Amino acid sequence: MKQNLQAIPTIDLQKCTGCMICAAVCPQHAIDGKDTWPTIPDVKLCTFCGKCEDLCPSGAIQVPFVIRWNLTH
Amino acid sequence: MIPANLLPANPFFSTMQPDTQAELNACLVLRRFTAGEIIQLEGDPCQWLGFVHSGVARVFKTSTAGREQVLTLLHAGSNFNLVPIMGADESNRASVRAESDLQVLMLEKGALVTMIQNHADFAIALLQDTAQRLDHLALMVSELSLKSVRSRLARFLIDQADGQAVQAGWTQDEIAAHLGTVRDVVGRILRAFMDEGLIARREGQLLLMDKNVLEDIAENG
Repeated sequence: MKQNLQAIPTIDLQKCTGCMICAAVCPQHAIDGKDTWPTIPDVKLCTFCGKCEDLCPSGAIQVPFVIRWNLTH
Repeated sequence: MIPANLLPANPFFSTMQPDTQAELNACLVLRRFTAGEIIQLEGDPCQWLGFVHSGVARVFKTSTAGREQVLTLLHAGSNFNLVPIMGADESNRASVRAESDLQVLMLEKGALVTMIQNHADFAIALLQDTAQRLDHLALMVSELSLKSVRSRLARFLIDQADGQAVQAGWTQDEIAAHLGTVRDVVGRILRAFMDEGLIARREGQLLLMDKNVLEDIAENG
């Protein structure tokens, strides 16, 4: 069991249409939309909020997560 | 012939009699697959019964539209292909792919029948495993036909968080394949759960915030 795996968001360029909605909705501006295709130049900026994945119309973005109980309270 | 130390380390074979293990040693073949490699395709002729020795394998069916339904994940000690190899129609019922680097012990049909005839402990272990698989499939059919995707997703999240079937790096696509739905639906329900305060996403984790409400949704929709 991998407890602390921080998986990296991925963009499947075979599915991506280059609409750049992901870059527009990213609250951290982690996605660079200036080129033909979106890229994530600095993954450390990503907070894994999942907004890009939710709004990508072609399902090209995957933001992996681990499922856990909230143990903070 | 496989190395003699393999079977005592495999959960399926480890409790079998020494003579059973010795005969299995002589007729099993070990094959290695790399992560992502296809082991077999649905519909192809089935020639052997497979036992996972190490790693994880995904058993799945694919629709003509390309949608994938995961039937189960196989870990060390699990087997696959018993139905086609013993049935009248000897074609693979599902596709199998290596989720990680994988070792599979393969047993051809002739050797399988001989083992069942000559070794009761082997036959009983196969029957017990088959009974468990039937239970699992009956539960899956019941959930797919009687419960909403919202209920199934709540149950899936609880099971994952409880550690009954832990996996790192879930994606909405992966969850959809396990629940028999599509990514958009999973995404919409996850967003609704977030809006209701039942889950939260933080730094690569999906945190379950309210067990009672999620359990209620899983049971009652």
